[in-house]
Amino acid sequence: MRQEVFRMERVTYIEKGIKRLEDFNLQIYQGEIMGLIPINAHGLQELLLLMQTNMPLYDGHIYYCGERINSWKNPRRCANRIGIIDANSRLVEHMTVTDNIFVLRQGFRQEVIQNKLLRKQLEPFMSDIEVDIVADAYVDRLSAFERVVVELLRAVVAGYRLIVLNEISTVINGEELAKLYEIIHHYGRRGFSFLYVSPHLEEIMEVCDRVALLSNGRIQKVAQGEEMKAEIVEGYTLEFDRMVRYHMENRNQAVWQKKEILSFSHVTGEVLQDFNMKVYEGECLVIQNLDNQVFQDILQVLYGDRKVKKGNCFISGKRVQLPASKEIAVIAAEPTKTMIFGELSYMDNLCMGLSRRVPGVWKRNMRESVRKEYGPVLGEEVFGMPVERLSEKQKYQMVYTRVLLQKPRVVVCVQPFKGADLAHRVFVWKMMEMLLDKGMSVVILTINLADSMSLADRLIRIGKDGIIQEINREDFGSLSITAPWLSLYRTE
Amino acid sequence: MNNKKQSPIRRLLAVKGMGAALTAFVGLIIIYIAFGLINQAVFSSNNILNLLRSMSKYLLIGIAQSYVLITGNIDLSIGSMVAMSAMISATLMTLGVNPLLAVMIALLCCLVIGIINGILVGQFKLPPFIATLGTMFVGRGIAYMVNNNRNTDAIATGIGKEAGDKFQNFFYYGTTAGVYNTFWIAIIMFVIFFFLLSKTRTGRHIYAIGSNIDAAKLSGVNVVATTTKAYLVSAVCSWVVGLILCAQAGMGNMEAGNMYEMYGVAAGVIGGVSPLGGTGILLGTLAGSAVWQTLENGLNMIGAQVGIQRLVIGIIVVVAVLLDVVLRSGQFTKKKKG
Repeated sequence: MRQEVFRMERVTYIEKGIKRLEDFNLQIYQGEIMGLIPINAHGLQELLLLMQTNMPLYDGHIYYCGERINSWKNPRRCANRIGIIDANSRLVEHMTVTDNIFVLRQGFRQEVIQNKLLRKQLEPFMSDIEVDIVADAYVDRLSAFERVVVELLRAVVAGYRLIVLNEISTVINGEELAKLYEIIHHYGRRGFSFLYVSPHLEEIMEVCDRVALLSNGRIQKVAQGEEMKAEIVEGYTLEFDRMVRYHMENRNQAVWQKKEILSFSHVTGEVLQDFNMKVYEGECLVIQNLDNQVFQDILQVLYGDRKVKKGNCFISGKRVQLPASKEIAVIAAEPTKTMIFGELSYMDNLCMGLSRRVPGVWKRNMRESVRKEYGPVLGEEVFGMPVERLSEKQKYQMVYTRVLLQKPRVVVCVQPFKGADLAHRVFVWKMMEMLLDKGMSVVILTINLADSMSLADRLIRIGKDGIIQEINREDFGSLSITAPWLSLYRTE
Repeated sequence: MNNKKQSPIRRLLAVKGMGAALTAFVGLIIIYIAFGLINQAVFSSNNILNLLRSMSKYLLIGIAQSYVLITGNIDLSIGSMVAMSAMISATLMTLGVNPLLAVMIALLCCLVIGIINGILVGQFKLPPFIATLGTMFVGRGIAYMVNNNRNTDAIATGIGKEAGDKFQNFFYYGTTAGVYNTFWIAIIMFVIFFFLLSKTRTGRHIYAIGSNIDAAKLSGVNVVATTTKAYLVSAVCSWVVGLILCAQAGMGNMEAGNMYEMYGVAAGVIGGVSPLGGTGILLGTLAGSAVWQTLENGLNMIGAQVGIQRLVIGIIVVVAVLLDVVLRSGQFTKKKKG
């Protein structure tokens, strides 16, 4: 009989008067890789919180390694020995790999640090998983994949029996993901258990033994093996599939001129060398970054944190500065957190981009006309609400409408689906389609292809040496990678 | 809920920072009445006029610091700019330079410091505390050097008694409609900067960079220019306060404006300007500076020692900031519902 590592039994958790988890049941066995697909994100953050710390429960019990760690009867406000790895690093920057793995561990008693000894201790772990990371490297200089591996090793060394990987495919690229799966399987065989959270069934299918579907704070279904792919799981993504298929048909019929809008000429950053690229009017271009440092480099240039060392950016042949140009709008990753002005009103949030085009935007009549035009679409009630109280959907809508008001010619979306559950991914997808319908070019910057392929007209894959591969829509079917929606292109 | 149907009072209360400002006003009234009950002289018209005049300096300093605080930064060079303004204008006037030209030169010097602050913080991304700490020493150094490490003589020795009196009356001793000119100057500047902050694009950009600097950048806000504008407002207000102090003393004092940057922070945060940036309205700063001055005045009137005065004011500042932090983190809400 398989040994159980973690169990949540009839857990109901209430936060701020709202039931975040209701009658929630989840079991994870030793050595198992359990998948979790959030159909909607309601309860996901709270689930992760309850795994890390024992917050007071309204009902139910939580067991870990055979011990009851939390119960509605007697809550223990202490942290659990469960590792969580996601987009945000939990390592201490400016400290070395060995410091993070060994020294900052509970129970490390040595007063004098012997680096040589620590290096030696790390060696077998590295050779076990066939990864080569310099033991004395500072963690802030590691690549995203190396950082994930160090966090994983830290959890393993600390003796955590359960490790949660939350949307890790938004952090590392496909090849690195494949390597990570090998490592996960390796530790799975050693008795470590994993909870792999991802909205993509393809990823789950590749790595997990079982999958649980989370919806409205409940586990709706647990499936395993072939059942995962069967109608129950697919049923949840059917609507999205249908939308994508319809969009693809429309895009195939649409004829647009290859008129150049945005171009990068010999752009050189810290890592990126001599990069050339063109974006055409009305197209959706996906740029997949195969190297995380290149990705960071592009983001820094895009956000104006760093100027390009060499080269230029042109809009319709005219040289422009990023991000100051009003012709280009940038939507950062997880916009509902990063693109919101929490202290400003809804209207001020909405009009922030408009102020690039109309200097007198804060005149009352202008605001009223914006309200009149967009009120029916956005809903009248949002104008009186503090932005922090808006729903996720309303926040997405606000950010994309802000861009729409700015009327740029090119919209750059950085990992637009990151952090969004299935329902919100559909909504983000619709918002981007709306931008395309308005004649704007959409550039999606991403690490993992995932949903981006459902909108793409062209794909560019870039690494340290610049463009590695450029693929047009008609050739998407030949891509030898695992990504959602590729099957649709293959059957075209 | 449709915004059009809201009553003016509800609309007023819906303005972010208005709650804190009104709380400060209520606090002001309570403090004032409490002191008045202890000592009736607090209610005398003479005392009210003096109160308004001395409050004006703190109001201007408060406006200066509030602008910078709302951008999420701080300006430690305010006091030094006050000293610079007082010393440069007084020194020039003692040398017989036309007072108008003298104050313009002082303004220019303050603006240079403001621009340097803006560029160091906005362009080179220096921590504002360090950047303005540097310019604080530079400013104070200039104030010392202007007249060879000495306070100036009376300004009337250079520009003559009549011009000297005119200058002093304009900025400090003269009255208009029965109220000291200092107060009117402060109120006019308050109205201008209130309008700038609440009704203009620049004002929204100031709030935006204090609220979310990255999103502001991506929304096309010129962070360097906006930060510099906030520091320039600070410089202008400091310049005026320098002139007021110069007019009050009739001479230039190298130590003028000492600690004023901290008084500015106090006036702002008491009135609900968040030291974390993004929130606060100048109406709050007005209330904050009035609370500050009323406390000082009232404690003086009831014969409290300077130590007690500082202690009380210090506690009030800490409580105001604590309230801001607690309210932002939502700890009150959690406790209620838990």
